[in-house]
Amino acid sequence: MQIPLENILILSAFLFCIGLMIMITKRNIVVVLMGIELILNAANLNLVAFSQYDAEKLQGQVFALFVMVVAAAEAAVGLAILLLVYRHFKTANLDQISKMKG
Amino acid sequence: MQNYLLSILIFLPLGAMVGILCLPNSQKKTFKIITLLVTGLQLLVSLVIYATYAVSKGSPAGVYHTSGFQFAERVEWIRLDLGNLGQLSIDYWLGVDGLNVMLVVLTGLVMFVGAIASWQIQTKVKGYFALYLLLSSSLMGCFVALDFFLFYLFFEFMLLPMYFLIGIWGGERREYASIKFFIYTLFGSLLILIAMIALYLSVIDPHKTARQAGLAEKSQVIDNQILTKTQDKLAEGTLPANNRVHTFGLPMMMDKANYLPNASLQPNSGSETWTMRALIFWALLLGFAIKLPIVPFHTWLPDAHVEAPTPVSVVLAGVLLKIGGYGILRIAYSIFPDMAIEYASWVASLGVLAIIYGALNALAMADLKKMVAYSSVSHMGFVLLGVASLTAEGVNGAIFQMFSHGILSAMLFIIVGVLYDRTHDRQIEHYRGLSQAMPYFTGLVMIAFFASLGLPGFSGFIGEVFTLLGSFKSTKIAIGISVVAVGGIVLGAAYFLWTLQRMFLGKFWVKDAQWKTQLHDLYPAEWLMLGGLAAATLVFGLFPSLVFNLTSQSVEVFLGLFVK
Amino acid sequence: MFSKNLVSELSNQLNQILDSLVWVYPELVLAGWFLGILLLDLVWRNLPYRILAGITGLGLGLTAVLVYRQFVDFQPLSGNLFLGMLQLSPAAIYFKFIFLLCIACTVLLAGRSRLFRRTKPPYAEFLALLLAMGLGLHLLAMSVNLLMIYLSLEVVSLSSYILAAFHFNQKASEGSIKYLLFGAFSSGVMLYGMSLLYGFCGTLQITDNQFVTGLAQADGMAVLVAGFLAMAGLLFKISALPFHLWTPDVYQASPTAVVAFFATAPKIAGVLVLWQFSQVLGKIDFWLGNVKVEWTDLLAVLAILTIIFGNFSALWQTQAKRMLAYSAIAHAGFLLIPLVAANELGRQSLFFYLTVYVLMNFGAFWLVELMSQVADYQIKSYEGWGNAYPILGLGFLVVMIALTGLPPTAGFTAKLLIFSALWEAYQSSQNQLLLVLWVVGLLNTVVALYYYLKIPFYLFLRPLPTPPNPILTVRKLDYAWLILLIFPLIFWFFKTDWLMAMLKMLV
Repeated sequence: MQIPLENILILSAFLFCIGLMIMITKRNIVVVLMGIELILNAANLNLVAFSQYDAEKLQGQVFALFVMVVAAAEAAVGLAILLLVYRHFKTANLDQISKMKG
Repeated sequence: MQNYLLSILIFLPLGAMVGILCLPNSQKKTFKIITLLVTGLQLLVSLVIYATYAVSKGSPAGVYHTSGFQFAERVEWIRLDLGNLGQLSIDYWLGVDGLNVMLVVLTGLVMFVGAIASWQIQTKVKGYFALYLLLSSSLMGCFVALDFFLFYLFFEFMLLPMYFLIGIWGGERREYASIKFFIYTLFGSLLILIAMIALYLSVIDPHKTARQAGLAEKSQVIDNQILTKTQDKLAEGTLPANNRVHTFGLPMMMDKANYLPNASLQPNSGSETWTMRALIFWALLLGFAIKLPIVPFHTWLPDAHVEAPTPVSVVLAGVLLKIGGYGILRIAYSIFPDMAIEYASWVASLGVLAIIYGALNALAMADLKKMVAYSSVSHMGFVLLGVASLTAEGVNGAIFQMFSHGILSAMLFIIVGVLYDRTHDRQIEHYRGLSQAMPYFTGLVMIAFFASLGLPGFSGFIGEVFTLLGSFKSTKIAIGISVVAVGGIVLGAAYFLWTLQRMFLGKFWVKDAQWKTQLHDLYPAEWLMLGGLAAATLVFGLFPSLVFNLTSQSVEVFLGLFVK
Repeated sequence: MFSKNLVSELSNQLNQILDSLVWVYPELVLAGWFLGILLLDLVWRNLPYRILAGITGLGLGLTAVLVYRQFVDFQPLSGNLFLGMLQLSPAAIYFKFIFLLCIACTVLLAGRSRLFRRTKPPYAEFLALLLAMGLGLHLLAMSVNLLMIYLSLEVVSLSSYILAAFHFNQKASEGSIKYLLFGAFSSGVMLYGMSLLYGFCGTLQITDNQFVTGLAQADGMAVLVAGFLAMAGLLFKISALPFHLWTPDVYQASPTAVVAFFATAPKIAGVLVLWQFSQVLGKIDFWLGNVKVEWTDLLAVLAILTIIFGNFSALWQTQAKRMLAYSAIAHAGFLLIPLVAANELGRQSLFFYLTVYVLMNFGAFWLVELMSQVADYQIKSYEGWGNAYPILGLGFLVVMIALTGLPPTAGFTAKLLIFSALWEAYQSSQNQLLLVLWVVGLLNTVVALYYYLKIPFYLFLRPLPTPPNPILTVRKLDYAWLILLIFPLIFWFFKTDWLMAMLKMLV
């Protein structure tokens, strides 16, 4: 059974919006990082879905694989910096992490 | 040697500046002597230019005749290939014609006087004289540059030395005044930059384009025939775009035939692009008007004057303001004659506004230096009025007025400096009957004041009368505007005479009794400066032909732009 | 099992990949040196910075030689590498040089930086990460494929998140986490935009004809939005609106050397990719209803906002690095102008601007770092030092004038050229928005002057506080470096043609 493209696109747009909302509304760094993951996965979904219309078939799928790798690396770096932040601020709440005037 | 006089004027002070920077800090006296010598030499060179400036019937006198400039130097400086836009060519192009020859003389004179007045500078002597020489170099450059880019370079270049001269050696509110000066003039110069970019991309140099497009052989001399052919090809649109050589040359910008056919600044274009020409014209006019300065863009001037040390005030009023007037003549009006005619009344009204507003303010000032500063605003208004009239009398008068005001304002600011050096106070009401304590000084003050208010026999009279004559004669300005300007002369007489009466006449009294011992009459150096300037104003007042002989031919050519 | 056809094609492709390897020697060296430095640090712990920097310098030198070889051997045909993933062009080669120069300057500046030396961060990791960033930048300069753009951008980003934290103190951690969150967010948005673009045209190759035709057929509004989203990561890198928020905090908190690097190399790479991008999207007319919108309109609006925001925010800053951050935002706006102009002159002027920009920035940050000896980057604390150290003060003056864009510095020439390009674009398109950008951009110089002038103002116009508390030490090396950085700024004003002639060859 083939799922129509629109459905996938709507799902990915939905995911993207959720990720965006999380990034804007949530204050905990870990949750915000999760929001970013959602955005990345929305894009992945798109890539894989569009891949079936690609003459060479594979580009989108390969791209999605790379994105997963990069996302893992990004999460690793993000969590490492989060640890550093936690050591200095004793919190992971973004509102309390502002020693510099914006 | 003859051919490099203008370069000498520019590079002599520049070289001296480098020399000063290399000397150790302790050589205070040497800095002063070097500066005096160099500016003296500059004066000498400019006098040589004045004396050898050839006035002959028949020869085209500059403005837009490239061959008509005297002492001309022209070397290609920067040539860029802009790909399918063609080429960009910037020349190191200097030259003198009737529009700027007197201003070169004026610069030489005022810078020399300023150097004498600088003798009293005590702090950070090295920096001061280095900057002074830099200023001198860029001022000269500004007046003799015939390439817009070069002009702009010098124009911007004088902002920095001026900023530091006011900001470091100025009075109490020097920081405020220097920044205000910088911001205002930079704003003006950006408007000029806007115009410059728009212009150079619309104009080509037919000489270089002919060579580039292969319309002339390498060794072939380019004659008028080839030039016309090039311009025709340009107008037809058959000249390949990558062969066009865009130029910053001011004379080229004055020739309609050099504009690209599809440029928005094209003079013959239809009504749709009409507005772009008007906008750029006003950008230029405004840019120079800020420098001139014209109400309501004048507020930097009183502040800068009050805070600046005496010699800097002298240079500021004597030379810097003239760049505004000169720029309007050489650039705004010459390149946009159609717009100049269109907006003649507006420009004249601005001039008259400056005359009246400046005079009224001068009348109200309690600080002598501020009074003099506002009198400058008023007097420079006459320049704008004369230029706007577009008559031979008016334009000649405007140039004369610039020259005369340069001498007179230098004199007035030195007078203020003389008083301030002795008592450190400039309030008009703090002095009375000074003529009894300082009779010789008072004599020179009277010469300066009477010359400024336009007494016949002095240079101020000639300038004002000619500009007014021009404006009355002009068909482009409503007569009412000129009538109001006459009121400015009356007001001018009022504030000068009133000040004279309050400060110098009557029974001797000063606010602080201690001052009485400090107020001795003129020192030799002051004698030299004031006496020399007073002699100059008398000589030029009695023999105005000393100026008009040199200017009138070029003014005629200049006015020719407006009848075509 | 496989058809003969497929096998032969496969071997064909493998051959092409092997052939391509020749053209990525510089990148291979960078990658090798990255590993080498890390290994070296594992074997000999606590090597002094001087030795590690020397080794890094060796690697940079070798890379530069290899890049030079590329320049000499370059033929137009040798452009497409790895089945079209990368494209080598003279411009890419030129900017590889510039990146290497930036890294070298950063290594030197870090060695000179007092605060950096005092906190004793792990030097080997610092240098290794710089090299990794260099690798990412090299790849980014050659990328013509959405996948490659994304990957190399991430290499650059991931390294820079860590570098931003290299003081390891409270502020640095704050700056770094903000940088990371904004960065990850914008790259996520970019990825989403890319995926949509991929959907419209079925290829990741932005130089491909299919890419343009595919986009031209799609709905205008959708492509415009997707294109804007896909730009996000790049706008973030060049700190243009609306992805500029990280800039001030990171600039303030991170080591000066790192900031100087962020302000130059990634920005250049970002602008280069953006240029490629807008070359493609600029060919398409978008119809929103019956209003025609061009890609350049979008860029023009962004440029206007960025210039105004950057300049006006910089007005209130009292801290030198924060001020330079806002100035970097304003300059990002100026860098967008050639992209808006999108003509031949725009290209040349962009390259000119970028080259000059590197010098101005390293000059400025070098001086700021030198002055940090007397106070914590507060502009107020510069009082009077210009009189005590005239050459230093003069250097500051020249750099600030160049950043403002006044003659006689190449900063002015750069501005003149980009605005000339923009005027030309306006002339040919009569698009009023370009005129607005033109006027706004030029008049903003007044605002820029006001804050740039603050530094010379305090240096020269205020007296030195007595007694001057900490002592400022300026070494001969500092003067040498300053002269090397600042001399071209003046020289290229007077001899613009020399640099331009070189940049013209990069077509």
